[in-house]
Amino acid sequence: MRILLVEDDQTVRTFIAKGLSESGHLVEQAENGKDGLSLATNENFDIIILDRMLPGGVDGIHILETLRRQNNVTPVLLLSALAEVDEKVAGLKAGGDDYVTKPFSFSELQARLEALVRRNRNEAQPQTRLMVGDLEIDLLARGVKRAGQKIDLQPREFRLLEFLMRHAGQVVTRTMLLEGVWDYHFDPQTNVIDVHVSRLRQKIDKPFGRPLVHTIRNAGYMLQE
Amino acid sequence: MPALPSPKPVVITSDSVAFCLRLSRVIESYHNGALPRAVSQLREEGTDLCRHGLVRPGLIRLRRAIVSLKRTTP
Amino acid sequence: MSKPAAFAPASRQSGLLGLRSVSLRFALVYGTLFVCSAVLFLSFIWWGTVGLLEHRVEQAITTDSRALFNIWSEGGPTGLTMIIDDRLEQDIDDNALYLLVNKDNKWVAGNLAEWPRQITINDHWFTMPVKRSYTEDMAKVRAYALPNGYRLLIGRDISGRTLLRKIVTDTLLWACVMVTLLAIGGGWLVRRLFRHVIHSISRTTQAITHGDMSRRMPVQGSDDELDEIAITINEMLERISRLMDGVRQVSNAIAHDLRTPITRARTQLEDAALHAKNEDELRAAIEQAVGNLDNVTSICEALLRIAQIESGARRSAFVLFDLIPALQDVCELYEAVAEEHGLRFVQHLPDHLPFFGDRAMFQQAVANLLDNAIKFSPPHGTITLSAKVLSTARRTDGSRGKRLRLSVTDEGIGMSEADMARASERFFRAEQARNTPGSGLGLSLVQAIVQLHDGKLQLASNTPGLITRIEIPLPDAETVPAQSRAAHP
Repeated sequence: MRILLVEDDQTVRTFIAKGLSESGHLVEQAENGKDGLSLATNENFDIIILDRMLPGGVDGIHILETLRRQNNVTPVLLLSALAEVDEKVAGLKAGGDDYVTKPFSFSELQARLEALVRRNRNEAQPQTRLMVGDLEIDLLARGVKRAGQKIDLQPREFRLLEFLMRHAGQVVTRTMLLEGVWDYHFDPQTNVIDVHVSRLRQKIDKPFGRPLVHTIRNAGYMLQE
Repeated sequence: MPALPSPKPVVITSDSVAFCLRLSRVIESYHNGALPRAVSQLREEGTDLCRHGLVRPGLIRLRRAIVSLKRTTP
Repeated sequence: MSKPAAFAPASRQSGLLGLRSVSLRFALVYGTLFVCSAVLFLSFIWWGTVGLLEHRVEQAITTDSRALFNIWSEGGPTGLTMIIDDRLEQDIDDNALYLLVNKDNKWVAGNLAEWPRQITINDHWFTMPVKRSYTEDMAKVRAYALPNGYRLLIGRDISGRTLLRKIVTDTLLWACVMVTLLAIGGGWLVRRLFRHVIHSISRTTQAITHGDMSRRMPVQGSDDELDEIAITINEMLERISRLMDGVRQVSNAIAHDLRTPITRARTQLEDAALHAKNEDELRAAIEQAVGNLDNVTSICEALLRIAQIESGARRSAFVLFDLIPALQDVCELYEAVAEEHGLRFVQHLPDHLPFFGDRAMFQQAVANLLDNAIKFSPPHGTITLSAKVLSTARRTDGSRGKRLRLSVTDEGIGMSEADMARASERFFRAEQARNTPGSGLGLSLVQAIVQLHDGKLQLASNTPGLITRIEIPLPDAETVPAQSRAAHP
């Protein structure tokens, strides 16, 4: 993937660029809003990582709005030290596709980047049926089958599984699950997500021997064959 | 009211012993001299004051006498 | 005071004028106002007395002239002469002046020796000197033209009135002088009084600026406006010092509570740098350190969130919604966790409960309470969440209002009375809770959210365990639109 990274803090920029390059992506870097804007408008990227607050008068929101005015639909992930809900809403309203607050772990950022790119590709053809290995879910009938065997799930368990299936082969963090499945934007102190994932495993993994839901250390979960 | 520069004062002729005597005569002409006591007293006092140079107080008494005569005479 | 902007440049040029002093401006305004009103009042008196007198004289002359015209038209010069004689004879006031002259300007009747030379115009008021037996007086006269070249002069000796007028005018002038003196004195007094008040305020505020927060404005006890200002300022100072104490307390707590995870992270990293024998040990140490730093971040975030909620800015995001589905959502999230811990989770909720507030934030508050209940409960305990509507007449405006009472009850370790009182303080953690994970900010956040909704947070003992109770005023049922219930099925 070709990624544009606009971030003024050198430590953070180098850290992200290094991690993404190691994962095999091509990273273009800009350290201020002006350079970022000219790169973003003149070249094609698969995704743009944009710091909200940038020096030199052109800030992240300004770049984002300019891009969207030019009908540029490249997915944009906003990075910001502003953690408040209103700030998130403002960022998303301006046309951002996701919002990550600083400080963040690299795995969180990577997981969200991949989710964004995937979503962008999938949006073209709406799916009614998702499959991973011998696990299959029907989005219309709300039915779940594994190895031809019907599995009963609670509505919320179904949504959790659906989220994992849509991001199959990708790391999904606990925050992403909390936001995507429960629509909560705060951190519960106890490990509520772990509890729910473990219950799901009881139903879709345990009877079948071969696990599909994997725990990724220090990052989250991944549904994979 | 135009104020005129140092005009010569006009003499008031009624401020004189002559006018006193005239009033005194006017009083006498009522009822042919048969005057009420109060009126004749006023007349005498007035004429007296005029003769002693106090013209204005004298005139006031004489005039009062005339006014009271006019009031009683139809 | 009316145009301070216009005064400003002048006062900058000459400090002597001192117009930048509010107290002086105040005094000047007072003085000017006082003098102006006094002058207005005295002028009114002047016109009421002297003016009226003059008017009366003019009126008397005019009336007289009309009567004499009538006589003339009936009896001609002879009749008029008789009447004038008559009038003069009966003039008790001794101030009437008449003069009738013929076309040769010769005396016909009246008590003036000759036609005054200066009176050349008819129907015009003149004031002229007249010579009496032993004085010289002033007279007001008016000349009238009669047929056949006759002319009539009617006048009044106004020297008596002139005297009165002089007395009144003198008195009023003196009054003016006195008033001016009084105004200056009063202005000076007003200025001193004003300065006294201002200086008293500025002395106190200066003392406070220099760090003496214990200083207060003196209150005279007279219930006047100055006392009101003093009381308001004192209340403000009271609140400021309370806030400052709070800030001091919180910053001490922050310093302490942040230092703990930072110290741990630092120790782990240093230890690894010195003693790690292989890469795996090094990685493990770094991961632990990152975990501790994440803890620092979450404490910071929680503090910021509490501060933001306490500022009240989120109130603009309030909407009407049905509380029950929102609560069920949170319950659903925690049911599994309670089960995992071997706890029974019981819910007593009505079917609908219209609520005005911030949905996400309220959910977070309830989540925090459930979090705490689960954390401090021993296995096989019961956690109860109940919500009900209480009717009360305890609103300030006296109308019957409804309140939501939401309580979370556990059978855990509970809290001592003293701890309950301090439970919502930032970073407070009861002695028994020292070893459980958490930042000590959970209840502070709940407290902030409840206060944002104008509610109260109470803790009570459940022997064993703890009851956390939230009471929040509810909107009137009639005003809840139907779609707010449908919006969150």
